Amino acid sequence: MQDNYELCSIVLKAAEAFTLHHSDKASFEIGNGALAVPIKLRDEEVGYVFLGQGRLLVDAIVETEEGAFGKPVQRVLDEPFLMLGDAERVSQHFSRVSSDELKRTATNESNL
Amino acid sequence: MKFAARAKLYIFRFQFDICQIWTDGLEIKYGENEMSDELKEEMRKLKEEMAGLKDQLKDMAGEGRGRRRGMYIDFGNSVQGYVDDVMQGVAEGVHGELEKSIFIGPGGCRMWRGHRHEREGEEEGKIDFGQTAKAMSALGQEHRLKVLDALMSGGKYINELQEELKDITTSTLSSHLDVLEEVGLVVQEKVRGRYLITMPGRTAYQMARQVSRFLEAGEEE
Repeated sequence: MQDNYELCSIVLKAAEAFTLHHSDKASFEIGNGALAVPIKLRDEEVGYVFLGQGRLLVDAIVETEEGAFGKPVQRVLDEPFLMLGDAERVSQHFSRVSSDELKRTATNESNL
Repeated sequence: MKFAARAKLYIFRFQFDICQIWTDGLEIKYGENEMSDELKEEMRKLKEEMAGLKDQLKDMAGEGRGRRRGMYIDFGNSVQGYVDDVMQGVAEGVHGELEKSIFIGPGGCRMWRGHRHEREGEEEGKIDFGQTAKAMSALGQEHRLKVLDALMSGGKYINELQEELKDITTSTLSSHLDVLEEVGLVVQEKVRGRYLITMPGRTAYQMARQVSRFLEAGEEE
């Protein structure tokens, strides 16, 4: 049987900024108010499509015996991006958005 | 096939009146049949145990609902893997660059002259006075030299530096670190927050040490 990923018809919104991934060398944060659409596989949430500000920090620094080399790199992502996995952990940071709220958001953005 | 071959052999031997060997053969044969049943039983038990272990393994691997089917990507591990690959690439690049451009000897680091000539528009011996003055100005402070000295043994968090340099207040230490970072003698990791001494920082520290030795030698004379 072939598995098909499906995009849900509901839209979620991040109630607060949160860290999506953190390790010694990298961190990825999702900004407050970011929107997310769940991705389903066999009726289970397996990931999200995010729309909103994300901040990626990577310490591209190498420690050598002769001193450190490199610099930290920071990048702001404001284009839609996809995440698969850890859906259950991420879901707690989102709440459902009503269609009215979505319309207001769209209107505000178009006025900018 | 094996049984048939062995049976033929026994008959052959019997025909040549080697009864004892034939009898021994029968006994062995009989014994093997008994062993075979035991082995079958052992095999059956082993199979049951293996099936149980497989189930346990499946349960352990499928703690997350999504992972049970082995279909989904663990986002954290994926990013970690990606970052590790990037860092490995950076490390290899740096290593290659070091090999071709910097000579590290007992006196410290220095540019390999042949490589420096390859750079377009760069005149031999020309000093960037502004940048050099800034770096030397950053070095011209006792506390900042102490900070560099503390970082020579490896990267440290600000509280570790504070612990080591008790005569410097936290706010003063932060401003010294900012100055050192601005001129590139120190770099701060943005994720973990550790401060590391850079290659120019190490060279500057070695230069300061040479100056100190020179002055000490002068005083002795």
